[in-house]
Amino acid sequence: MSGAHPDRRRVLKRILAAGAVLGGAGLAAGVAVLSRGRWREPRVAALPKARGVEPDPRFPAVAVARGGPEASVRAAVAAVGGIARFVRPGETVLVKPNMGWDRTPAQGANTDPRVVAEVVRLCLEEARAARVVVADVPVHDAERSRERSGIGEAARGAGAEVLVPPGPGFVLARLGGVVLDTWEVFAPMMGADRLINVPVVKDHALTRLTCGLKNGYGLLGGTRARLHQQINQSIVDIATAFRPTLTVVDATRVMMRNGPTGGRLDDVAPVGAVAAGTDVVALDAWGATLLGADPERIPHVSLAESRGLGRIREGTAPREEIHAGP
Amino acid sequence: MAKARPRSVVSALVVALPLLVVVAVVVRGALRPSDGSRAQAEAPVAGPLAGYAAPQADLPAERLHERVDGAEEYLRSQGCSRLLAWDLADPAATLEVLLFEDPEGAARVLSRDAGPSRTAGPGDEASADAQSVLFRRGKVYARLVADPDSPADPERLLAEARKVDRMILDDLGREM
Repeated sequence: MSGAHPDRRRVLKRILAAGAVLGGAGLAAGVAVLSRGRWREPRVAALPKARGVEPDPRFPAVAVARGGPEASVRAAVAAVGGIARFVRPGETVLVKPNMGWDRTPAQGANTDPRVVAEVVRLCLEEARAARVVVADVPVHDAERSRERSGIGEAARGAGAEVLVPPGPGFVLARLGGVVLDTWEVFAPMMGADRLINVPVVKDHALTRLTCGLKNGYGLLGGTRARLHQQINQSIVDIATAFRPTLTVVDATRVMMRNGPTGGRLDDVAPVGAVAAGTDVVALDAWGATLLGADPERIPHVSLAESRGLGRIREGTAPREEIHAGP
Repeated sequence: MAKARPRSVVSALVVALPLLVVVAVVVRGALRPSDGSRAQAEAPVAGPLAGYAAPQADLPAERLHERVDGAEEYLRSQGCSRLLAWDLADPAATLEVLLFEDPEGAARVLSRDAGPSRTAGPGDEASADAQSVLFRRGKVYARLVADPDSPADPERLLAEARKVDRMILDDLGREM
């Protein structure tokens, strides 16, 4: 029995040594797993600043043109100062249409591809931007939405890159809003010098109207439906954080009912108008009037006005519309 | 030796503890499904209409936003419990089938989409035009909307809607 003790001690020492090795390996593995980010504090990026332009009293906050889509884009943008007021040579421009739906242009769920392509051409040919990226985070299948909307082909043809997820992925960004502090933002948003918001006007089951203010939703990742609990505040938070340089509203075809998904041509009215401006609240107010809605009674529009994002009156005041031609 | 044994056991435990923690974390991570597989696990069974391949979307009430972003609250308030969607090739159309808790909920959503007028068509009530056939069968509401870029063939669309109605009766009858 006396000879057994040294053996037992040796065995215990070996067990301890093996335990130490395995424990060390376990610790190292644990540190490696932790450092991959699962529990690590995520890095939060700041949104680019100063994408807007200074107000210029020579130009109206909103201009409306009627006619063919391309001519209307050119006329409306010219009336608010021309594209060179908003985009400088050599800059990178992010164009954000509504490209969220697996729908054809006739169904009016997405921005008309001709409007998007004309905005791209203005940036590249007139303003001599170095790069134009057209991007959105669709609700429906991303690639189908990009192609069935017609925006993919039209924007590429005009010289833009067209990005949908997974693409370059998402960045956790600080929005600094009342309900939206940080959220995942589609990466092209972070590298652009200018943001041109190109929404379509349409009915929306939850918010009555979707237009310029709500279009920013389409640059978010994550489970966006979580935001529907506080939809009006969320929309205003996003609009406050993103602050587009210019907004060009497509009202070529307007989905009057059953939005945002729609599908039936009976729900779509041929309005044939495009509005441009720097006051996104005014542009939404104008869009609301096309739906026969009172913008003062649309909570996210009135909330945006109260947060200083623009003035409803600028959108509803009588104006002389530009006849842009076919 | 009587003192050494407990000390050795304690030392072994102290050394092995980090290893046990790491093993527990790894095992827990392996057992917990990813978001994608969880979504798959929560999704209802595929192939609910036997005449068609598996739908492009088959969403329970809590995931309606993946198809109708913004309209989900309204649909849930009317008792929508499930949405199925297919992209059909012939006729080129989108079919959405929504299941409700009761026929009244389905009828209210049909009325919102189509207005008060009704036309001849499948189901208990229908609203058909050249591009779409909307109809309700019991507590199932179906929207068949033709692709506007394809040549309009209202008769073909109506025939497909009648086929869908039969499949609803055959395959979803237990849920009606």
